[in-house]
Amino acid sequence: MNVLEIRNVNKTFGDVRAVQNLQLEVEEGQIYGLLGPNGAGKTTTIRMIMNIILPDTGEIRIFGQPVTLELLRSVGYLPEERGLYRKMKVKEVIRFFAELKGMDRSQIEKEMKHWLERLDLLEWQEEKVEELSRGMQQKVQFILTVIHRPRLLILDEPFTGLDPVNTDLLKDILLEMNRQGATIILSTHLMEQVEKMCDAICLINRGRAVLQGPLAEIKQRYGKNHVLLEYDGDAEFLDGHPLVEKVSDFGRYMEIYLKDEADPQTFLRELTSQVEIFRFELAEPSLHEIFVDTVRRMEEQHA
Amino acid sequence: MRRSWVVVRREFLTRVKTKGFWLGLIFFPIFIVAIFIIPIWISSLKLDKSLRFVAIDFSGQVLDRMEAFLSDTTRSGKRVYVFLRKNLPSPAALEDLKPELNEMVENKEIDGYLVIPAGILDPGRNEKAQLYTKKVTDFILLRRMEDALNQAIQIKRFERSGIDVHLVAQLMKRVDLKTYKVGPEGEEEERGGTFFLAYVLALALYMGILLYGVTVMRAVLEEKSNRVAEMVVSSVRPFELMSGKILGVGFVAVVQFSIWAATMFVLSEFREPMAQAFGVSASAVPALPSVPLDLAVYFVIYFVLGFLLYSTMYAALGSTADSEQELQQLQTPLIFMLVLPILLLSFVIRTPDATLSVVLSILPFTSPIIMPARMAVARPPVVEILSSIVFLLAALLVMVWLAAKIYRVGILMYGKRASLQEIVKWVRYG
Repeated sequence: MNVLEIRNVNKTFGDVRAVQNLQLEVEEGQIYGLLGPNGAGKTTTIRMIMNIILPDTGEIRIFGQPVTLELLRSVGYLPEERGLYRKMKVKEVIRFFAELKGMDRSQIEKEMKHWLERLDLLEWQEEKVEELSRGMQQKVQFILTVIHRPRLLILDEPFTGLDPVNTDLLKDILLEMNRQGATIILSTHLMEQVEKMCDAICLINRGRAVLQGPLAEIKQRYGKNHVLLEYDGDAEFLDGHPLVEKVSDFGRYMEIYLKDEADPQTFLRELTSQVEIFRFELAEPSLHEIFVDTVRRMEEQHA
Repeated sequence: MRRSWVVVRREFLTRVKTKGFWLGLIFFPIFIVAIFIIPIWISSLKLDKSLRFVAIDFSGQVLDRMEAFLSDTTRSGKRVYVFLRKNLPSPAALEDLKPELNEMVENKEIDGYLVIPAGILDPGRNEKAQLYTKKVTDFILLRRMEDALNQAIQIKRFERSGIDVHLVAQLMKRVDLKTYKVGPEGEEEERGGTFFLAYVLALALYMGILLYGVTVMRAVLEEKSNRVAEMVVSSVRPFELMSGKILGVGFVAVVQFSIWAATMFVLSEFREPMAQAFGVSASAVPALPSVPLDLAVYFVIYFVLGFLLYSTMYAALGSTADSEQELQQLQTPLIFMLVLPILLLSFVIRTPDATLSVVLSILPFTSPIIMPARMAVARPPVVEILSSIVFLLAALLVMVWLAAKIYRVGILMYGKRASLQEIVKWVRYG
């Protein structure tokens, strides 16, 4: 069953076409990544799923039905704009939102203890929200989105503002919830996270889905002629080389796209005659490469 | 419904838990008591030092009389007004003496000097007495001096004309016009309490509606600028959130007003022992005017409806703004509608049955303040009371409908302030 279906959705703000003809399907149990540069339309899409803004045309269904408030209560939503009641104690805030979700008292106390412990916030529970650092406030807000054990989690940029330790903590929790059956949709521009976590992605640019599908498939599609190279010497001859499509140079490390018709073995032989090679690997491109490449090609078409 | 209740409870509890709420509960009654007691207490204070004046009476007949009228005493029982008589041969001699007298005033050896011209007893000559002093702003001192001077001179004039002063005093005695308020139960002595009551009721309604309306507006803006709204509306309808906030603040208002009213009642009941504790005579402290039960009920009805009407508008307003500064400008029309009844209040109280008074007590935006005030002084026909309440309810329903649409969009829109055209669009397509 598809947990989320978006069909032909369009949304215009004034002259800006924020989302155009968006089609999207998320299967149950998936971790789905919404990627895209700033202003691409990720947050608009998420806000439409959450019924905060209405699409101009098209249809959005969750759990196979049109979106209603009742359905949304079984969704955990972490908005991009973070905020809490600053004057309330951490415990009170959590209780308030849990009660809004319809949880009963004993359930709330049990879950609250579990999550405060899990996110290392137990000793802060009696403090006012304003006393907490931004990272801690973000963790409190994360508790609010998961305390009712939602079947579907929608997280808008969940990792921004967290330190590496907490980023890992959050990632582990998400994977664990996913194993327990939760479907997770997250928007991010941190490619590394997506690469490690997501089963499928949708890359959005200028309001359009430009790349979509299971991550493995996408990588395979891009993966044929991608070379990772560690070397020493002068590699300037690669610029404009007949076999090379594109080069990302990091100094002593390079990622090279070969032209479709090029043979990697021929290319390797040519390299050995020019520079000293420590590593030569034919690999799938990183999602970062795919992302930058796709967006760049689109911009070129636009220009 | 249960979820609305969660919002109401949060709003109520977080407000009741603030220091401001408790300080308000305690200090407001203290403030009111202070307003009544302090002026009375101050006016009963006695001076601890005499005032010394050099007195030059060219007529030679006025000063003794005047001194007799100024018999006030200081705390230690001495006379307050002490006149040091000085005889001078002519006004010219006074001119020579003035620099010396001025210097004495300047050095605080004396508090001033009083000059009574020779012809003061002759009404035709229109002579003026003169007081030279530094205490030109002590209006009580100046009044006492002038009164004593005039009384002394009048008596002297009567005596000079051969008229019996005591007879004049008897004949000139003033009579009072006693007023009785006529009502369905007959007549009742009026001591100014009705006027006072109408004013107090109207001011309490005005302040209550404004204060708590603005509280609702702030609460809405807080939720919007905190971005909390977006999370809350994934669990409750925007309308439930809005009404929850209004009701939460409303319950705070009810609790606060009830406690204040109870405190006022207790203070009024025990005003005599309290007044004595402050060393003030009990009769000087005004009693709380007794409020008839039906008026009290109407007060509550109009307060509740007025609060709901205005706080709904305030909630919608709060959702369209992005900052406190914007709100300052946006709420001007609302404040104007609330101030208008207060500006017209004395007119309504004086002529409660004039057309303007009747209209103001039926129009929904002024009726919550005007109708109870009008009811305190007159007995408006039942038709007028009923239509006033019906209009108020109708206006409330329309406002709730409008506000819900504006609020739903406004609360989730960030970054820019909504223009009037946009708000109209929200209402039409919302």
